[in-house]
Amino acid sequence: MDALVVYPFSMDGEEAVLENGRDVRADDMADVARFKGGDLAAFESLVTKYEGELFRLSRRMLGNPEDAMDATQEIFLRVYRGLRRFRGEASFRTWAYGIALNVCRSRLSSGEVLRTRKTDSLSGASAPDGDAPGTDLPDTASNPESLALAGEIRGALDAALLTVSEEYREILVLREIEGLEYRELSSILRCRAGTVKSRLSRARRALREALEGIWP
Amino acid sequence: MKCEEFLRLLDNGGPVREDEAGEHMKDCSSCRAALEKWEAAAVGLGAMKDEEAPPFLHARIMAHVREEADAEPRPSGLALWVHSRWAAPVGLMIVAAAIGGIALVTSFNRTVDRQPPLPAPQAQAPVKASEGRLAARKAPASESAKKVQGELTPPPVDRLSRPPAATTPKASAPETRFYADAPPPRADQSPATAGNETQMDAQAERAEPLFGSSSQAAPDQVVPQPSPAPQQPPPDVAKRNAVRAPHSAPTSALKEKAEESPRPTMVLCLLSTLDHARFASLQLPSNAVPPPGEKWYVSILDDGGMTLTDMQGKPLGRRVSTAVTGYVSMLNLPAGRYRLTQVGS
Repeated sequence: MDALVVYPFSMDGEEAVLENGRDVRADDMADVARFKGGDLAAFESLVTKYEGELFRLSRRMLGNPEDAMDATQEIFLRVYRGLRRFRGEASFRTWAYGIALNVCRSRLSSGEVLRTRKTDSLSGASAPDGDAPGTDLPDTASNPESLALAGEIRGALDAALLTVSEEYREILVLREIEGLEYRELSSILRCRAGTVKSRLSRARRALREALEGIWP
Repeated sequence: MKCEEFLRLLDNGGPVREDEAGEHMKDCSSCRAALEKWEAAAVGLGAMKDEEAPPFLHARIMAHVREEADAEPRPSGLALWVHSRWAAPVGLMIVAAAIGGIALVTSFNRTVDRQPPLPAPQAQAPVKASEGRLAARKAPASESAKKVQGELTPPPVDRLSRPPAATTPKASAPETRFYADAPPPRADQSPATAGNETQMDAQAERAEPLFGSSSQAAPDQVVPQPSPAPQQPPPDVAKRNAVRAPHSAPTSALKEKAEESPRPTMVLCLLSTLDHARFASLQLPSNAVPPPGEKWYVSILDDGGMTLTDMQGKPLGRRVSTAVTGYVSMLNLPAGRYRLTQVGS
């Protein structure tokens, strides 16, 4: 994973996010502009950059990779449909995360993922051999540490995440897994920074308590 | 520090290994276990970021996106242009170009309007004398007699092949006698006289060039050259012919044509300053316009009054003066001396 450097200056007050010396946000806006000009390759560039983290978000929110793939596909279709109206007030990443959360919430509220989520949760939490849930996914772990995490801890975390409320799960995934800043969380979750901090504190406690029963 | 405070600090992400929290952790095994478990969980959560999307997900997403892109109507060129950041500058350029084009077309139309009508209809008219005049203009005077006699058919005269001098208002005035008003030749006018008249036109064009180089004929232009006509009439006769020509009685053929298409009662005229710095076009009744080839002088006084004189400086009649000044006064021109010429009907 490339190093992510945040510099406290930007034209519109938001911090410029540099990745390997390139301003990610400016690159995104360039892709958006090219897409608005009819360049579908620019949209594919955005898909390439964000499909991983949006899939992970869906995966943790919905609990199984099948629903996560369907959700990710729907996310990008919504992004595709709405990108021409995207004005760039926020970064593309923030905007896309907002869409992703809406898709996940919609799928969770509809109940169509409930059965598979339960199945996945149970299989993940009770896997005797410590396999990570969603074993149909290709195993990308390539070192012993990742294998260990994927075995015991990841399975417990997946199960614990699915036991906490959606509100806590969202902020835990965005902050603890994806590492978003409080400012980004505030923009995505549409709440003030103080609310973000207090909600995150409660979410951590909930996750910690959930882990007590799964990973004693 | 109590356990509750330690766990709250842990949930808030604060430093739990320093100060009071550190001391409490050394003494409280449950809090120490909670901290160690949370640190392991945090590592596990952070490791989840390394999880990548399935490799086929990208193709699946793009397949659906392309499917939707193909299904939806493609954005029109206008829509793409509107979204472009060049929309505003290009739009301004288009508007400016449109305004310039309109101005150019309007200017061109004015220039065309000032030109005398095409001679083709007259050439096709069964008027031998008129054909003779056309032929006389196109050929030297020595050949004009043959053309009048019908030995040569007058070639079709193309508008574009006319000398550019005819496009200028003043330079076109002498030719107006031939084309615009179709001055019928008098019965007693000989072909040689017609040739002489053409010669005078050429002389007039050379003598009073209007708008500079426009009166200079190109090498391929058909400009009547002074012909060594044996019967050179005196200048006063030629001048009288030139002046009388528009007012000559029409032939029977032209009468019939006039009955078929009524003549316009308004004639386009050009009012310009003597230095041609400013000019204005106006329509005047046909009975209150200078004869083609002639010019009247309009003097606008400071008090708004006007005087009209002909080329010789003689005041024009009251009826004509009243008619002309009525139209000229509507232009609200500044005081000065102007030249009034007929451009065409």
